[in-house]
Amino acid sequence: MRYLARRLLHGAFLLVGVSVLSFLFSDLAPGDYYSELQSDPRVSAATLAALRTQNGLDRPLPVRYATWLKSIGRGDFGYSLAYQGPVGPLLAQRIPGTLLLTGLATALGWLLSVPLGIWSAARRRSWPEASLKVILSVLLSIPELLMAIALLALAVQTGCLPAGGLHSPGRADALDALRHLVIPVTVLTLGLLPILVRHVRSAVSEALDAPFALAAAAHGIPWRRLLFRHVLPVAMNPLISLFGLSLGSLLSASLLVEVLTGWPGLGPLFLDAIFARDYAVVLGVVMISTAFLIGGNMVADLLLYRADPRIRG
Amino acid sequence: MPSEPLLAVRNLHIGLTGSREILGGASFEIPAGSIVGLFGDSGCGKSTLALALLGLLPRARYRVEGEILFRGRDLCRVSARDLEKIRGAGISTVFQDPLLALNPVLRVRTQIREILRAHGISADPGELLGLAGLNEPHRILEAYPHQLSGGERQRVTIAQALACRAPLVIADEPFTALDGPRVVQLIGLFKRLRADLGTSFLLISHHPGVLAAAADTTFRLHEGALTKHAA
Amino acid sequence: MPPEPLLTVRGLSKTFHQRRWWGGNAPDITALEDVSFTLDRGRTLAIVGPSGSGKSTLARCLAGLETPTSGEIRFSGAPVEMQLIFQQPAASLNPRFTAAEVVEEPLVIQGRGWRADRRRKAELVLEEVGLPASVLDRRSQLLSGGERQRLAIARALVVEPRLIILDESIVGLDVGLQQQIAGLLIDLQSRSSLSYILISHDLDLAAGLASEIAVMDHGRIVEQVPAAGLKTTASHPLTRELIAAAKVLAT
Repeated sequence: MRYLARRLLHGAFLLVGVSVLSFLFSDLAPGDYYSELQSDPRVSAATLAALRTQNGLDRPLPVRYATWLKSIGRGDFGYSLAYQGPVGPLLAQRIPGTLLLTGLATALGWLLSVPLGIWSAARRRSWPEASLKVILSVLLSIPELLMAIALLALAVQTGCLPAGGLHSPGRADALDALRHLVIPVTVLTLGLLPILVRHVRSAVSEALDAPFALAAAAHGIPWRRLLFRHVLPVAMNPLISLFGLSLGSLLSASLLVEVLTGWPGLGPLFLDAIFARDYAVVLGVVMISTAFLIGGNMVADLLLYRADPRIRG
Repeated sequence: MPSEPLLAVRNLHIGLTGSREILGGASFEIPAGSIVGLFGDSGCGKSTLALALLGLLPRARYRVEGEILFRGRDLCRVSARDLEKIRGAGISTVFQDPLLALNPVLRVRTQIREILRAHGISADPGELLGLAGLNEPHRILEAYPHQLSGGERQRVTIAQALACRAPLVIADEPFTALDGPRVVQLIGLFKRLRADLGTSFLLISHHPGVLAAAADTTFRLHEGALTKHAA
Repeated sequence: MPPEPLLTVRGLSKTFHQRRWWGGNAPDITALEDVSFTLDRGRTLAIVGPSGSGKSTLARCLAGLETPTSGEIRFSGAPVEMQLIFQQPAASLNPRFTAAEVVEEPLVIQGRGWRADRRRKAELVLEEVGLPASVLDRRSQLLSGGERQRLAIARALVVEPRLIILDESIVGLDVGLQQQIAGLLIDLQSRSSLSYILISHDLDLAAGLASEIAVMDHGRIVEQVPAAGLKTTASHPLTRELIAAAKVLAT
């Protein structure tokens, strides 16, 4: 349990570090929220200066950082200039969307790739397995962008699936939302699949070739039981680590897919805030994503601890 | 008085598909209740021969021809399912490196129970550990392989081989990592098991001196030919 | 005034402090306790004992792979002139290196000689250990266990060392090969005053090669006798046990 406490502490440090860096980077970027207005002839320089002072944009960096920290303490998570309100509720509104999307894609991705990977490892050097490899390679080389657009186009053409957004006009039920989920989840899952299957296949393959698997076979353990009860637990080790690592790329991909398909998650919020230079929102999304990643990796570490007795000592 | 040997190998050829032969036309017998030694230089194919007897050589890479008669049944011609039943219960194995031969994420108790379960035998894992010469069965049963000493691990793999009281145990290089006194101890264990349980052993080693002390008869594998070795 | 010994070891001790990865502590392990001996040029010292007696730790301390907790090691020669050959040679060779690369690597690291010289030296040293020159361009992972064993010895010989520490290196070899290598080592010793520290659990092998035998148990040297009179002068119970076992297993 001392281990858990240390990891939590590390996580906290990481969050602080990320917040500082993000603050610095957003400061380094040219311009601020009001830069757009500079080119507007109707707004005078004096007005701009006044606006900036009013929102504290002219204060020194450490002061702004401290203010931001204080607002986190209050639960506001900063102040959005675009939405003229605290960032917290904005995030809270969008987080479920992203969680749902990434959660479903993760679950579906692993649920599909584990059996596929095992089957692939068990049937090495066979016709069907070779064709699987080709299909996956093709999938891997198609960028998510292209896949999303292709599927959306298909949806529009055939009309069988809604093309984007959360709800069709006039509907607000869960079933409708689910239909809208199909395309974004499919895109994410198809993007995840090639990488996962490859890793599962390689991990299971390696475990199958290991001496202990041969020894178990020599003891007469039947093939199926050998695969699932003896080999798979050993192959799980690298896969659990992969789970933690893959969360990062999945999150980035999901933000992109949300924007493409109009799914109401953190993605569109993030993108708009970047363009508008509404840094409070940008920071908020970055912090949430970081927290998500840290949490996911900690879960992976804990799972690893449970799964591999060699780590426990 | 049974005259039929426990294991009779007739004209066994083992080769790599498409290339050289590892073993050309070997014949030997292992009578019941005997200890037979197999010695030869490293890399000459002793372990390959052992795997061939168990039917564990991948068919894509190896050709195995000839007769392997275990209790009268030709192992080259039995079904895969029957072969699975014979492995572990008819012919069991002690592999060379105990750390690698044990599953790293399963407890010792589980690894022994799995073998018993596969062959539908009920026995006490602790008793099996005792047979193999281990004194603290409880601690060892609960442990994972990496928590045990090298010697304990080896005894665990021996216990696994004894789980189903297989009449023939193949031990591949069991003496390699042991020092003199421990080698003598292990030979003593094998002889005791032969006396008490009637188990036959096929001991593979590259050390002829050890085999001379341990085995009734010894065969030598050299350049693809198996010959009887005069001690 | 007799020449200074090649190697002097005095009061060598090594304790491992174990730490668990999550921050806890496990009991200390005393691997070596107050080990002392000397070794002259052209002589062989064998260190025998059961597994866990500290033999390997001793080898590693001598070779500089471990830092002793206390004690002194004095070697009259350059550090590179003390070579260590490991227990499992297959694991100590880079599998993707060719035999030539394996053997030439120490020369490359030491910055000695041009390519052609290195190649020639490699050929020479391979010949010395009984490997054909055809092996030079084969990847080490493709060689048999025995060949890799010899390659590891060749690698140690290529820098012309004064002392070679063999950590159970030839114990696992086939008998014929073992005798060959032993003969080779003796030959090299007489030709170039090479010294050896042979760590082995095989007493017969040790007695055959060494002039002096030290018996270790639980980190200490419990007995040190000349090899010639081993069977008669050895008195420690552990030594007698080792002798008895060796007798049973003699070919």
